[in-house]
Amino acid sequence: MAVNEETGPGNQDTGPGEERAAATGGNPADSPAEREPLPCGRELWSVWERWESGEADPHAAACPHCTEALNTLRHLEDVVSAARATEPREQDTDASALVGRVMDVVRLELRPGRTLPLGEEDEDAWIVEAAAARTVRAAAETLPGVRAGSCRIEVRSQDTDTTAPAGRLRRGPVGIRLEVEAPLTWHLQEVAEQVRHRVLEAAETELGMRVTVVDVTITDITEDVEGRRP
Amino acid sequence: MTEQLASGDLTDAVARAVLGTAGVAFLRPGVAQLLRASRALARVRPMGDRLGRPPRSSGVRVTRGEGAEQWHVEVYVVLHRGHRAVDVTREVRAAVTAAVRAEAGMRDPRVSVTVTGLV
Amino acid sequence: MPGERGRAPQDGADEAARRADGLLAVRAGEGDEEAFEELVRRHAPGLLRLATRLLGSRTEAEDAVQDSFVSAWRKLPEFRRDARFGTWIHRIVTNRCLNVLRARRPAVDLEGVPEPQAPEHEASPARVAEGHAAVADLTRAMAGLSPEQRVCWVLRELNGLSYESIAESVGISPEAVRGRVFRARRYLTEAMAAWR
Repeated sequence: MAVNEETGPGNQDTGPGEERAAATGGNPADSPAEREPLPCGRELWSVWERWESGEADPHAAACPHCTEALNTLRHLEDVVSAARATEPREQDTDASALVGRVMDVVRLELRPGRTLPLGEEDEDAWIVEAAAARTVRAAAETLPGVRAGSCRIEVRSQDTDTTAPAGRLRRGPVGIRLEVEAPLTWHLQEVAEQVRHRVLEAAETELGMRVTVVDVTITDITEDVEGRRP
Repeated sequence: MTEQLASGDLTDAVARAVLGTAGVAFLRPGVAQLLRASRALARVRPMGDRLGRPPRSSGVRVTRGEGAEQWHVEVYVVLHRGHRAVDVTREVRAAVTAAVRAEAGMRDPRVSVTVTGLV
Repeated sequence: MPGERGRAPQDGADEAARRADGLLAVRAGEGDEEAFEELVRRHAPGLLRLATRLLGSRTEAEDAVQDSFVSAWRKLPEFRRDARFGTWIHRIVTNRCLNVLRARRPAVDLEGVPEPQAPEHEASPARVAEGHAAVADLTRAMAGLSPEQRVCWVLRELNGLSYESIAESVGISPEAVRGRVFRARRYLTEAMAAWR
């Protein structure tokens, strides 16, 4: 409820009226100056607030002072409308240059993430988890209406009995945990089975990554079959 | 462990061998390269990659541990989709091994290949 | 601006967009750059308009939105699944703009406030005349608001958010938002009346 939260440390309020909003209270305009009523006895903030809330205000409708106060507010709203009309429409805003700049920075930032083994036990080939996960998600999304979300891939300790030599990463087959959304049209058991099948196939043919298990969780049932991304 | 960094010539020869392998799109770009590529990034502070590697690390690193005979070549590549990733890493390893032999006369370097992306 | 005030629309398209955002945010949080690019593409136009309104400058708005997205990318791994990406990024941009406004020299002396420049996109000469002058007055008067007043007022009047949404965005109570919006309106009406 406190109005003066905004006058906390490090928060310089230089705007008009702000310095007068010292005390706390139940309404937004509780300093003496702001409480000074209109000649009819009503306070400006309450007249404006009633109008904004759309509540019926018989006094204001009949009172010349309140009417005047509301006219100034209405005039402001008209000017605001005119200002909005001069803005370009949101869909006309060209953000492509901005998108490009953001992605330049993002691609430059290497995220810490797992590095997973590719190929056989004795090879020295690897793939970062984010890249492997994209292949996995894309494989799941070859099924109509299926959308993939979280995908975590790791070498599970129960799948490998070798411990990595010092300074090297552990090798072994990976386990995949994948979350998908599927449309109502799918039988849940069937969709999980199909996703598993496609994922195993892609891991073998596109990556060459050995996989022991694919856990598929269906997180959501969607209604539209054409649940493709726009 | 004190590491010895290979000469720029050897590193360049390795990089050429990697880039000449079918299925390789590009080496993982170093920050310096990206900065050059994008003027808009000039005000972005170059950051290390949080794994402790220096900010200039790019796609190829050739080192030899102190007293060790064997060179270690680390390659970080982005591959084209449509190629089987593990097969490309095998061809990269063969090309790098050949390049190290030709350039430095050394046999059997340890070659680690990491796929950092698919495009 | 009746009808535009209040809560976000809850129609099916909105729900579908929110669902898609959620999926993309999870993927982006796991390092999927393409998913993040899609999020940036979806949200950039609205955020650019918001930041342009808050800062009064398209150039500064582009910088603020770019910085906000980069900081969102860094924080995404900790992004809560039940949160809405749109709300979250909106809040990041709002706070970034608030900081930009605070870092500006306070323009307390209204005589010293420069005449606003005509926005680049303002093409139609038909719209000029009286309305144009009033809009210019408004832009000029807005420069006299405190950063906090300006942000609350813009979110309310130009973006049509509810007091509760603004409170959530800015991190203060709805009552404090009401106070700021009231003072901003009072100040703007007085300033514009004085120039007429």
